[in-house]
Amino acid sequence: MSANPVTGVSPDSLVEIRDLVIGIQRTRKDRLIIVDSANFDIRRAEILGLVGESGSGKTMVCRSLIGTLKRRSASIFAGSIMFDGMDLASLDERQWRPVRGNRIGYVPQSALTGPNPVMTVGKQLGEAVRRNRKRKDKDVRKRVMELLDLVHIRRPEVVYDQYPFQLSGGMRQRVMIAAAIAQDPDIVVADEPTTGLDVTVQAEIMKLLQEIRSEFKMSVVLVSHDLALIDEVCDRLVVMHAGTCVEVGTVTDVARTPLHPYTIALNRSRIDIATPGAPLVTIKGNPPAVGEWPPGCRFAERCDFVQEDCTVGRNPALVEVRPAHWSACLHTELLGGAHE
Amino acid sequence: MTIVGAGTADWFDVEGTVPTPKKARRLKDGTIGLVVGLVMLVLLLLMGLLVPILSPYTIEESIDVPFLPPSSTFWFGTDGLGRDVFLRVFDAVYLDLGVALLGVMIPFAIGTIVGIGLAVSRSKVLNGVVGSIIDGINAFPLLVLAIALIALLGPGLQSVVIALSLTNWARYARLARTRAMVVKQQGYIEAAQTLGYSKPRILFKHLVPNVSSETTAYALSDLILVILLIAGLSFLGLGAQPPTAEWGAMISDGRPTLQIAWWPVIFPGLALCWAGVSLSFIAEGLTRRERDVKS
Repeated sequence: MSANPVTGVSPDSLVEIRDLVIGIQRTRKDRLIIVDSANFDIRRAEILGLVGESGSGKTMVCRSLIGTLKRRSASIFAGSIMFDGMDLASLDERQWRPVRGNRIGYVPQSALTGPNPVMTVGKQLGEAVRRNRKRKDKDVRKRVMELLDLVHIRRPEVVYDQYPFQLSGGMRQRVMIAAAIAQDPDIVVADEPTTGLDVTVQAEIMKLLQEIRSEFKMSVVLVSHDLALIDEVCDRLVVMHAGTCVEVGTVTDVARTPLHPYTIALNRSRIDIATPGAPLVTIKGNPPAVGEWPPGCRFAERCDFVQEDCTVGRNPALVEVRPAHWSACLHTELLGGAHE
Repeated sequence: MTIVGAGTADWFDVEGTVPTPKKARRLKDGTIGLVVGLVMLVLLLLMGLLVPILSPYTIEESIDVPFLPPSSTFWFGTDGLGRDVFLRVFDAVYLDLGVALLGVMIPFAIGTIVGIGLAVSRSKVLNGVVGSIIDGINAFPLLVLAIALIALLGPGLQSVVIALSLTNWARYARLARTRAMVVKQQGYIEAAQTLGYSKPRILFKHLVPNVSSETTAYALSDLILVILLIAGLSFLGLGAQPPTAEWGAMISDGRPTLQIAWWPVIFPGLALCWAGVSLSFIAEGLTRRERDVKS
């Protein structure tokens, strides 16, 4: 596996993910590796963006953070996720319970099926509030109202008694965010929280996540394949491709001076509506299928800068090319001219 | 679209919420059908309660005049043994509906539990074995299996309920299992899990209510089929035995003398239809409302 990219523990990192390998045990001997060598930190009170194409493993990394890999019949084979002295990678179901909700909150992908359709909003949030702590019904109601207010739901006293079908998609997602922050966790993991919502609502949800970060000093892990969205709200970015982290750095660094050809290509393929008639740039080829990763760099086949040594040996490891900016490209020196 | 009775301010006040249905939507959302069905059912139940109490006769008592046509004294006439058809038809209400209710509730309970259990369990062996049994039972028409089982158990309403319980559960199990598998993947189950709720809590508060809402809807339409099935089995002589007043058995009784007297056959038949129609109005009305809610 690739070497540890971060030497020395940064004082403000909350979670450290090191050499994480996630896969599916198909038979006793047959393992399908979906993610290998995920390496990054989650810092205190930051919004961390996790970007990549479909199948790059971002959702799997996300699930490993909340311990629900088993739902997808996947498991962690190697590596560690250090969080407050615990290794989340090695927790069992019983050890997970005090962590979930209490320390790490989760906002599911589909806003429309997010809330339970047969429970009123108040009941559902009450359930989340009541957990772990014994509270009086009156206090629970007060806290739920407070939560609804925090996520900017107007007339919370009306919404309290409503069922999810009476709410719009944006409001349902706000309710889910309220549930995720109900127990004051340190981290909120949001897996493509704006899927299926229209653009204006997307922007509102993003604004809400930013508020949560700044008001409660919670860290937010935001998974998305929409670079435009992520650019605006995130502090740092992790770019994933074919099961590995290929670039890690601040949004400004990664967006302005990318150090990996894949990031450059992703940036180029954004639709530019400001210049009508501009050709739509795509990344040639397809990402290599899970389990069919070529030797060397997995992006080599699609890369404009490919060199001979790119297609041999191991998958290149993340290297700190500039301060606090890591890239897994062997030839970052060739990329200089590619920046706009 | 005009909005009856809703001021625009009210309509837009709560951002993005759906207002409660107004009059204009009642027909479409099934409220009228639901009300009609409920009124019909309540009428039938009331008659079933009051007629046996108020009638001067008992269901077995003969007034010694067979085949008396409907008149002001005997509204539905008398049957071949001179018994009051009016009394017998309404006396059968609670028997027919009650046995049908049992014949639905027991399979409903067994099937839902088995179905959810299968969907939740990770055991491939269990899923394979029980799954095959379910598919095997469902491969046969209900009536054929029920008749075969009653042949083993001997005729009688008790046997009918047992036979229904042993066969019909498989339909509920299949429904509950597929539904539970879908619900398991929904965001709210995952959200509940990541909020750290206990397994029993997720199962009973989040999974079961969402699965049973589906199976309950099926149970309601199944009730109609089971009412007809019980009457059918009794007609064949496998269910209620004489002198029990039961619609299917009464129709069967009157059949040989149909050319002389139509009333001992037609009135139980009409009662059967009335029960079926009222329940299907209710089922349809509820389904439409549900559909509105889901969209």
